[in-house]
Amino acid sequence: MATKKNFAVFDGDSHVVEPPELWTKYLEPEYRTLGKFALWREEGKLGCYLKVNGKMFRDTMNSNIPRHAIWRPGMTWDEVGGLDPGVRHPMNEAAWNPQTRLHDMDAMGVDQAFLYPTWFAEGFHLVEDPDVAYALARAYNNWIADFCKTAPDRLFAAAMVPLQNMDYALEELRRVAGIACFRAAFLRPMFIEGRYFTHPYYDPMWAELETLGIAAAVHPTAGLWNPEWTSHGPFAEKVKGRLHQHNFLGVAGGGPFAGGGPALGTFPASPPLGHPIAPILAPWLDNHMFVASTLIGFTVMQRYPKMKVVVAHGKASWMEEVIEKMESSTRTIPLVHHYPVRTDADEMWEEGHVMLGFDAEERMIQRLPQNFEEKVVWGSHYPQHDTTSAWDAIQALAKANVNEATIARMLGANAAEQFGVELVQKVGV
Amino acid sequence: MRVQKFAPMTKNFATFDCDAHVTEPPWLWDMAKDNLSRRELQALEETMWFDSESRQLIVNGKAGMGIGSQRIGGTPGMVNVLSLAGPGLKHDIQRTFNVRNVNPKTALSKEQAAYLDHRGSYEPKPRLRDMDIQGIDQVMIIPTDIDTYPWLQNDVGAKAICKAYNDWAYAYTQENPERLFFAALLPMQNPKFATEELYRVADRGCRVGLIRPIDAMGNYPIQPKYDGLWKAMEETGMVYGMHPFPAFGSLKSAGYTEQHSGAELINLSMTSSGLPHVFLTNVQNFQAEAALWVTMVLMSGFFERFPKLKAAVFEASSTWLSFLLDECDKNHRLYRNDRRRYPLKRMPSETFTEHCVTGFEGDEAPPSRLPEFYGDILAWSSDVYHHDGDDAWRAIETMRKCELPESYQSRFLGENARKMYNIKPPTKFIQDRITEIERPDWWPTEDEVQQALKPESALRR
Repeated sequence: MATKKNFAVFDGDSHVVEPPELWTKYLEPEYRTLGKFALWREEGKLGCYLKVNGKMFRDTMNSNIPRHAIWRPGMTWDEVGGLDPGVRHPMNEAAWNPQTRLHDMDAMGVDQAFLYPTWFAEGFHLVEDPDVAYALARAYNNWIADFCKTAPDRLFAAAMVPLQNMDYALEELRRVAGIACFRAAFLRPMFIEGRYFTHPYYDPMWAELETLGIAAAVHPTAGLWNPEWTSHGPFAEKVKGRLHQHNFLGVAGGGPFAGGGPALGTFPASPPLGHPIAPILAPWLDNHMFVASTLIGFTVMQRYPKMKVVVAHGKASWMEEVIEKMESSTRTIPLVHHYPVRTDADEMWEEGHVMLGFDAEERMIQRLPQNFEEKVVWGSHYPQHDTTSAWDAIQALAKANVNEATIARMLGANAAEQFGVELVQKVGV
Repeated sequence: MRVQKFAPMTKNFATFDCDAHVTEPPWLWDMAKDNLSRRELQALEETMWFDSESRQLIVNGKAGMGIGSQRIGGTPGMVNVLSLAGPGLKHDIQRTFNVRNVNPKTALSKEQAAYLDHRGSYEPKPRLRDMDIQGIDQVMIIPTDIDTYPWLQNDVGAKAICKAYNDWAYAYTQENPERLFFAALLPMQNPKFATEELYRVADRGCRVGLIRPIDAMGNYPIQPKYDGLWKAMEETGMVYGMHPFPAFGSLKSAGYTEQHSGAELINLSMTSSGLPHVFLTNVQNFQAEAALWVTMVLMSGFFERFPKLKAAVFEASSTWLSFLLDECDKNHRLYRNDRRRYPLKRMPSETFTEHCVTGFEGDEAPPSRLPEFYGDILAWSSDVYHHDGDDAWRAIETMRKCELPESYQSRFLGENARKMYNIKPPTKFIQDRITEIERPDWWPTEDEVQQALKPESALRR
């Protein structure tokens, strides 16, 4: 593992886990009951769930290993995989305690970090009551602002904006723009109220972000506590269930609407997989779709050319492929446009201010760092189960013969530029 | 008369196009009358029938279904995107025709549309001529109405259309069995029928059983009920051909509100926008379906249960595989003790390399930059005559730009596919590119092509 570095590392994809006090202390008193009804994470002794709009979405995986906050400095992925699933393992309290977090950052070789939510990422955009959403957004933003105050030159955050009502969203954007730690607005690439960010409803938000100079911080989740039709994850999890769906009458038909299936239906007669598969797929599919449809296809990049966007936690290797496909599509699909769409996606991407989150182990980036060095932002995923430290990332890239200047750019300078943060090196060894 | 010119190129190996399309022609149903039993024919009529009088495909009793058969011969003011990408129909030229069609005054006439409706999509002789120009020595043909077959509700009817298509496709390939091969449709609505059809086509030398990886009517093709089919594939040496597609869902029955494909989301991102816009349909749909299937089979241990089974992942690009396989490995490690199914004997990425190939198209450059990763798993697809298709010369051009050694070019463009399908190279292969094609006077000039590339030229007002 690398043990020394000569540049500042800015972790562009790090997470907090929202503590109960966000609801009990930061949420305004008149909204506490409604807020807990609209969005709440229950970490029970015998079962865990996320509540959204009063509906429970139970953990479908083993709650004994809280994978959203299980990693601690020095842990390997094999050690995470070797944890005893029959024993309850505590979360890393650095997920909500800034002092502990700073210690972990020192150990990981991370000088500065950009913080995304956990449960708000999973459920906030689905909250139906706009007034409650606004109150929850204020509570989250005030809580994370206090969190970041512990080390204002090291901790930065994405603000929650209540997209449920665009007037509220813009008001909250303008409010947080005056608070130093907020360098971006959080957007999860998902369907909200059955529509996507391709809808003109979001145009005022793009315009405001561009005007305020605040980045859009786009971050997917696996959607494990979400209904179908919201993002790629829930469907993947449904299909996983087909693995052990045996038919009562042997080989005939099957499934809820299967042609030729028996009325007796299906039953689980073999063990399920035992763990989710959506985390493998959903993040990059969600991000890929956001870039292809919203930014390029529906011309948000074209119409708001100065807007900064970071599309985190979904790999970056697909960057060239999505541009190729979009260029091809502008030529080969019969045209039904009521506004001009650029046919040079390549040049538009080059000129634009969009960066993709990447993992240091991505082969394409290790092989072609020169193609990615201006367009990627490194993220640790801390404290999620698949965290990599800055030391790991530096070593992986150095081993692939990526030069130090490029590593420094991909691990720090790009994110600092995108989020408008001055780089400060706190950790050298 | 105009002449379309191309830069001279040569190649020193035989290409194999592992995924190119035919469009199911109306006479497929005429042939079925001779080949199917009375019961099958009746079920076919009730399930998926081309009505020659109204020129409509009737599916599950609904008229106007399907995307191909009814358009044969060209329609004024339209290009047929399913039969368009013949020789020289480069993407910029296609855009020029699309731009012409924006304005009724410049829109394609019936004659012009018919000229662009390539007969090779329906008939073998013109296809072989086109293949000579496109640098394609051998091809695996794949049907077009892939968004229809999984939704057929009558399983006897599904069996009948699969037989009818496979018989027609077999006859098509007999024009030159050394160059033309077909992937068989299987009636997945009934695993027993699917297995029977697999054995039937295997006897005719077919190498691939074609399956769409979607959850249509709850039939995602990994359920235990299909185990017999996979065993039959192992026994016959047939390859599991996994072909995704855009998911329009137009055949969902009333009340069916469940999601059946990841590809539906990209469709929804357009339809829910409130703006007329279609060109996203060719982006991500294929990857969403293919990536889920790859993840499911690798993480579930599917190939460990069927160790002789081989699979080909068609038309989904392949750049994503370079990180998806690593993600599968990583998650296998992270969830090792949570796993409740039998433990995997090998890492998912190793299993993929051992059992699968993945298609890629000629404009996809990234795989050529990682040859050591893609060396044994990449198999080129032209996707002709579908609109985004292109010829072997384009693929070679992309690879040469990436400075990919010729030994890899020949593997990616032919050898890997032939090895997977156990097909011999042709006795003779195309070496030199045909550099001129005579075109009618209405063929676009270079100036018109450049004008058409301007964003404003495509505005529909």
